[in-house]
Amino acid sequence: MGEILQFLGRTDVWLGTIVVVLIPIGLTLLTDKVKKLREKQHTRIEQQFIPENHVLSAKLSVNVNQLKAIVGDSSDIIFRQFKLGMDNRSCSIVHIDGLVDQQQLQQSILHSLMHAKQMKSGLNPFKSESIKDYLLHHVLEVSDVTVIKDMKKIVRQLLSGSVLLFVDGLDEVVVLSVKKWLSRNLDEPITEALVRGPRMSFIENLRDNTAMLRRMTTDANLTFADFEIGKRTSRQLTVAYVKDIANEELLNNVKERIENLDIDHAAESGYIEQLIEDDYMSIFPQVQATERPDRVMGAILEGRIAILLDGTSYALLVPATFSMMLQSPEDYYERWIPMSLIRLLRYVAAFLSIFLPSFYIAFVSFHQGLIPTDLALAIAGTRVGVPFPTIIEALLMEVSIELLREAGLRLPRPVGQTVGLVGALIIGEAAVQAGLVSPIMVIVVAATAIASFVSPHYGAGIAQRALRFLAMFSAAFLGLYGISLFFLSLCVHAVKLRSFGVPYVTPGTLYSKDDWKDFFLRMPLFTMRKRPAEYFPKDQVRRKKY
Amino acid sequence: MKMGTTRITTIQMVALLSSALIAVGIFTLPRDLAMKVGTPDLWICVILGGICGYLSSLIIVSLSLRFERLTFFEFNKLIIGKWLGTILSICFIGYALLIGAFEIRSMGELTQFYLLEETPISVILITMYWVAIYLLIGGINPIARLIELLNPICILIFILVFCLGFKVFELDNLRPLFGLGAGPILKGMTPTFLTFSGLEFLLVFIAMMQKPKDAKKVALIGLGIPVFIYLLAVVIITGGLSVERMKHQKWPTFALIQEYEYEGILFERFDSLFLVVWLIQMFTTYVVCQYVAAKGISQLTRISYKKANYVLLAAVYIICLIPQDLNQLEKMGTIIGWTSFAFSFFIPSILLIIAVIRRLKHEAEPQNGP
Repeated sequence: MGEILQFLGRTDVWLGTIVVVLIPIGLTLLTDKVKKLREKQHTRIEQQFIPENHVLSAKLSVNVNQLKAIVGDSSDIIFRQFKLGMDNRSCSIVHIDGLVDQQQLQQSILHSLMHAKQMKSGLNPFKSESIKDYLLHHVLEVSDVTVIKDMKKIVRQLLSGSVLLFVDGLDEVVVLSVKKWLSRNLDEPITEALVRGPRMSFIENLRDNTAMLRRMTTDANLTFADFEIGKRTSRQLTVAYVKDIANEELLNNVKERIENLDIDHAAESGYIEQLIEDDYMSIFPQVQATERPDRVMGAILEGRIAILLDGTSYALLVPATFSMMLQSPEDYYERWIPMSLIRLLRYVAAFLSIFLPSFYIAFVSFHQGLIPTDLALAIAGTRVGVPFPTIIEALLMEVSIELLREAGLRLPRPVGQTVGLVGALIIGEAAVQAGLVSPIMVIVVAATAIASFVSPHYGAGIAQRALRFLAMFSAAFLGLYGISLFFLSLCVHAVKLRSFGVPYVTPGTLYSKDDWKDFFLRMPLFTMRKRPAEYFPKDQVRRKKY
Repeated sequence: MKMGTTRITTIQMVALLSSALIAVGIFTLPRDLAMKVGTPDLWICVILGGICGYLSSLIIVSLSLRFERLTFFEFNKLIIGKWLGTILSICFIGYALLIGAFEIRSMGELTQFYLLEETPISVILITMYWVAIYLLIGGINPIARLIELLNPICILIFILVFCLGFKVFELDNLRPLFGLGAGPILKGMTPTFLTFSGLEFLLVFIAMMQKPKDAKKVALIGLGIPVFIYLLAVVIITGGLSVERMKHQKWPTFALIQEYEYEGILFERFDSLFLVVWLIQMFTTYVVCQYVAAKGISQLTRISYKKANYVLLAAVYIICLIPQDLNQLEKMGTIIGWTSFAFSFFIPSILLIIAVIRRLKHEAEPQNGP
């Protein structure tokens, strides 16, 4: 009895208990609160970008003046007044200079309007109905023509590059779409370079991007659903999927999240990615960003969903899992044995790029006894005269390598090479000769850096860089035990994470053991007779025959 | 069309069971057996223990299957009444906590001994608890996924490390068979059966399975894997060290791994690899125990599962500090062993008999999600 009382009276027991319980509770409360921040509802006043409600009248000059009042007198908006060819009716064309195909404007619109022939009898030129029909049926040589009454829509159409045709006596506006603007040519993907496969990447024009996808298939089930994103800038966003493959629940989930996102201006698909992802506190990317149309096509044929945004060359793919970050479409273009080995290599590289420096720290500063004696002696020999503990040594080198990498990225190309040279010299030679770091540390850091370049997915690569530092600190505190705990907590975080309902570690955990065919190894194509079960596709079978 | 399931799949259940069974026994069983048996027939004990374990798991399975979708905490009230049932549930919760605390404390002792000599044990324990609680508050699905992810790798590495021990294996150490008759073997049954404590958690987990019909298969495979690993360990350690040396080693498993060296390849010794994998196993065992306890509390009282976890965390931490040294820890292990015998064999049999006599049965209405 006395022993028990004595035990319960020990301060270290009580302190430990308080620490072991209160810190997790505090952290949980904190993360819950931080996560709530994103869901917080702000009531905001409905924004009006067009001042008042304008109503179109039958008088041309009134309409044109109204429009002028709304769009102001920007220098790039062109108002052109002229008379209709056959009956001297006043017309006005409004368009934005630079967004319109000038040649088509001249030939198929202006020319045909001004030289319109005398109309046949039976059509009364002074009734608005008939003049509209006449123009649409006989005069305008443009395929995409709409007639709109709503002033808001008219303004939006004008600003997105359509030509407006006001006709005297008509209280509607004919909107003619002859858009043409500068866009670059198809190029090779820059962040996802490839050896074999289609050498094209998405460009900044959404229509061209959807056309690229459309050209790869004539499947009528390929569907593009459009959304407008950005309350002020309202950009076009397209959700692409194959209707009879994509899971309905997943699709609704994606659409719902896109509809709910509230943003002023989406400059890049990265905005969308961060606003629709599941856990914004996670270090792993939960949405896959890609420039390559072949990757997008492959993904939507597996039952995933692509999100394309106008104005950026990066498409988003959901759901994304960890194994995807280490895959590349090229895995399927080359033969299966070498590509399986390369894929294994990527897993090894990912592991090394996170854990290699921390293993060095753990073994050198805690468990010299666990490495081969000769190696331990060699390391100890090179470390003679190094004034810092291993963690400082490692941090010094890792931070300088990160600095070099960032510097090389931003500099103009010719200068970038100099940075590389100087960096190699300083990090390699000088640091060792000055006795700041040991040569083996240099090897470790270099191997880590090379391993981190292997990642075929840029977002995953950055995550690995951040994780490496955490691993180094845990190794510095608790050695190999610390690394094990760090590995465990990484695993715990990964198993708790979901991307659009799909667990992040799929197919590491088996909903279907069939998906292992495409996990560490890339099995021969004939074995992949079914689509991956992890996305629960509606149409599971790829082909019937072997 | 649904995206996945919130229940435990059969494969997850197998992984869950086998990693609950592979625990501290890897280190303690060989020595306990050597002390009790004293002849090289140790491995027969392991097989016999496995068979007994399977028989008692059959009792557990048939009991659980009578009450569909109900955990032990819920159906024992139906069988023996509210009061007795509650007492039984509380004992079960306490027992689960005891195992969890025991595993973590043993892990801490071993880690301190082999890896971090100068670090205070409380630091080792507390950091492990933090990682565990991060997993536990996520509920059963992340736990099942984690175990499913790590268990195959761990088992492979265990097998690899033990098989490398064939380098020092001598068949003579395993002879003679039945040198002193069957008597010593029976003596060895107790520590073996105690090693397989953890079977009783099936009482809780079968209710959460996607296909409870597979429970018998789960029990067979989930028990078969640990029996195989223990068998391999015992055979190779006996062959490599001989029974006499096993008695004098504190942790014979480790002695064996330190015995062999493979020169010329990257790792000459495999103790670090083995320790890391074993740490992960201990972690998963502890998480399963605490999950059972927290689930029990949340089903008995109105405390939510998440809050129960925090309360239990404090309880487990205090319990695991109670043993003052390794001897007391060993005693704690023995107590756990006997309680385990009660919960995995004695109580389920009685409950099953009562249920059969009273013709109690419970059928779940078809529904999705736990």
